[in-house]
Amino acid sequence: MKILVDTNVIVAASINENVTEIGIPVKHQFYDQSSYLFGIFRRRLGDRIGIVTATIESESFYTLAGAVNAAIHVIGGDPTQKRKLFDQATAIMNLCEDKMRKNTNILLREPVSETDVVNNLQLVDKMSEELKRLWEQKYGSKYAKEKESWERAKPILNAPWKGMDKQEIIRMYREQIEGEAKQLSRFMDKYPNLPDSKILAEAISILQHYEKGKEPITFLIASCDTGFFSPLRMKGGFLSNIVTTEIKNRFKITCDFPDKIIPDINK
Amino acid sequence: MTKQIFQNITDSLYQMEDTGKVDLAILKDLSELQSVFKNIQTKWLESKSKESFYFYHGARNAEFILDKMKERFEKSQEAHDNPQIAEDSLVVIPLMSEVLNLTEADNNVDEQMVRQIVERTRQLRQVASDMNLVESREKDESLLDKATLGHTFDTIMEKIDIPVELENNVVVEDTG
Repeated sequence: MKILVDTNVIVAASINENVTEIGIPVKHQFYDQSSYLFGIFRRRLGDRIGIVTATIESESFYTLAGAVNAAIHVIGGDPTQKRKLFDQATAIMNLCEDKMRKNTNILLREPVSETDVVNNLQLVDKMSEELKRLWEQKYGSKYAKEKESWERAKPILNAPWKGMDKQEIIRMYREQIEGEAKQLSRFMDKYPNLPDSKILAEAISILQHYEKGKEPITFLIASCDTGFFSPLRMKGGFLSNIVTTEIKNRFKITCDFPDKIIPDINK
Repeated sequence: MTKQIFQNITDSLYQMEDTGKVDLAILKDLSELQSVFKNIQTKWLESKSKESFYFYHGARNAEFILDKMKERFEKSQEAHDNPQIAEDSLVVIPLMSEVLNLTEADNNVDEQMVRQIVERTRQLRQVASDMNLVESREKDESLLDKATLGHTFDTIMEKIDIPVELENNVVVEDTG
């Protein structure tokens, strides 16, 4: 088994370890599971389960810097206190970078062939374009969703038996479609999403390299990004996973949150 | 002028490496270089650019590293750090020069420049850490405002594009 760790998991783990050490209470629910995953990697260092690429490492630091910069603008405050705010942000960056470095040092840094990545990027782009078309046809507008609701409801509406109210049936399918659309909607918000496309192309290249002339392996991407690499789980157990299902079907890569992947590691 | 300061520092370091003796005259040049980085920080604080923090961060870290460098030079005799401190500084100075070039840029920054300064600052800190030229963790912690830190971290997490809470009170269990 190999687990490619996405940028947001690396960043979240570094933040969690700092807030734990400093003793700051925070509410974000994804902190702990990211750190827990790295804890497992540390305990099973010899198995070399956790992997990372140069792109992910570099993107992690850039993502952290971007998030800190964006947070400064949100927090704002008295302009005369700008130096204090910037100094605090520098301290946070330094503390998180140090943790990120410690965490990525226990991951296997897999080199990737640029040629393979370029070739696989074409496959990823093809998938993205088809997802975009699917969005436009079925989920991208109120009209499209309504049309799809009626299409799905047709067999029941045309049934000879009298059952539920017609409008209730359409409402149920409408809700189903809204739920299905959530992950794809987040994917489209970031479309064409070049950094994540490149990460996926690298993941495919690494998997191809591992499997050359050998047994197939279980390959996963651990991520908290519900717009590309993680399904959305909703009340009642409903799963919004059109994008991640496509990734699994086309490339044999399972993508999910760290806490969903951890039980597979411990099997 | 800054080019001359770097040249002076580099020449002094090579001299120390050759002779095996620390020359504390270098402290004057290191202080001058620190002043340059402090002026750069002020420039970016006054800038209206939304990307000014990245450049401030680079210059501020360079200032911290120079603090540590000066401290090690001052204590080099009693710590028997002589000329190890010169050798360690020689490794760091070229990257510091690159950070200076990037942070001296004018205010018209683009994404490429931002990526460069983030990457160079990261490399500078990493190399400085390897050479024992970064301040302790406590120094960074002393700059934190612990009263508002929780809110700051939560805001940062939101900006990493991970939702703070998923919709519909999602079932994801925190197994941490």
